[in-house]
Amino acid sequence: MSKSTYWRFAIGVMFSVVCGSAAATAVKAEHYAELVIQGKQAAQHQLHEDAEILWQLVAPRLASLPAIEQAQWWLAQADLLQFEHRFAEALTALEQVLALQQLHEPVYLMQARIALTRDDLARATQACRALTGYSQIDVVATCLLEVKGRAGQLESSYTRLQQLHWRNSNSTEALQQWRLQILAEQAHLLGRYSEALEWLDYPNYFQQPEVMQRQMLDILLQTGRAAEVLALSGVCPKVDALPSDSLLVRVAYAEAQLGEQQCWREVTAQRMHLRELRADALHTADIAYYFSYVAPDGEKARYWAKQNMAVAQEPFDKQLLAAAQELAL
Amino acid sequence: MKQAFLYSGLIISLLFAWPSQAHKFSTSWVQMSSGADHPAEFDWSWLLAEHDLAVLAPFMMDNTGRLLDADALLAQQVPFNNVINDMLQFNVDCPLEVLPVVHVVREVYAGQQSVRIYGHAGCPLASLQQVRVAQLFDKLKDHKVIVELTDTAERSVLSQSKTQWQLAE
Repeated sequence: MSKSTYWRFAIGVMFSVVCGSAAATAVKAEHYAELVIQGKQAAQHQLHEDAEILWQLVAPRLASLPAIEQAQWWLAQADLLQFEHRFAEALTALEQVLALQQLHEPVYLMQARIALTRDDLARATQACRALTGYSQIDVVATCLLEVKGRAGQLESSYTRLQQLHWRNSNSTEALQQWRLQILAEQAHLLGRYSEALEWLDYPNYFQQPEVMQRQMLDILLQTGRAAEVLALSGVCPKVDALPSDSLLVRVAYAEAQLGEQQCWREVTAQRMHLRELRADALHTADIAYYFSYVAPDGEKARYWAKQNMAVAQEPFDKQLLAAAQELAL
Repeated sequence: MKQAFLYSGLIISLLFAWPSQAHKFSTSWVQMSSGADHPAEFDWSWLLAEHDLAVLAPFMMDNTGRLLDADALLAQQVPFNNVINDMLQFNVDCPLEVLPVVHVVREVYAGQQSVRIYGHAGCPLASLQQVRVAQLFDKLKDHKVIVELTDTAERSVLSQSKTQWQLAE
């Protein structure tokens, strides 16, 4: 635990001990949610350990709290679980929130998100529709248009989503970011690469979250711009400062495409060897990508792509499995 | 305001949920090979990320988290021996011997600054029946130890849920 984290955590605990009231627990619920949210950033995953400690402290007396506070705890817990791809448990936590008749909007949004990850479009649609009455109309529309895009109606949903975007330029920043990411995904899937890069704000690559950086690298690699991928990645090796594996495999692919001999492929091979031996059930898309594109091996690519599909079935995951299966033929 | 932060944070976090970023984990590697010129023993080495060793044996690090230089390491011989003997064990008739702490070397593997610890075991490799790793899984989150017999490429992966490799007798 870092010093600053320790102090934030300690202050939260002291506050609740001193006050010993429901209000104190409400503060902690927000603190818990902050730990969950901040801990999603690669450099701050240790915050999830702090969140776990808080959860263990509060869980036994959760039922004694007022409904809104219970709901806040369960919602943040669901967020943490879905981040760890523990979807069934996350959905159970969301049911707890709904049973308390609280926080409908984030619950339905999260249900829709999980359903999309599992490629369960019927449930995603149901969750989006359930937002009606709890969310602004543009939130409901954005949710439904994302599902529609996934259902194969990409052209029309992309057009309507753009219209929605231009008409609602005063939406909250969070809503705008969400919409931009869906627009980027749909433009990417439609092969409108330059538009996708615009939605992703490519000129400000380094300011974007990792998931968007990865998408930008995919587009650059698909459009013969591997040199830009290497340029974005700096000099190899970066000891103790490597990009995450999902970015690293793409940088290695750029190196392979260009036939260059920096150290990206060598480092990536070592990383992937470790990942194979660890055989973790999560994040296997990185390994599948490596064996599909960087060091092609049909059998391994197909094995890891199937492992990945057992957890996530988004468009990228399906493309990866298709590429792996083609390689394995 | 706080509530607004919470929900916008949650909404943003939902967007970036798929497929989620890599979780923090770490891996170390124990490799064992028969001693060519000393067949009554076998050699082992343990490759660990330097920052993991800093958690397990902070006395071996300077204030920047880097392995102490050889002169300073010499003074840490006893605690070093104790820590390694606590963490790595073979079957009882195969006692672990750790090379002096000054033989610990720094190297880079898989983009990580690492350290390699060397030692012997007081039995031939053929007599090795059990490898046990303990006391580090509680300290290192989601840590796995790959244990490998390099002569035969046999491997096992030890973790919090499996702390021992039982080889065929």
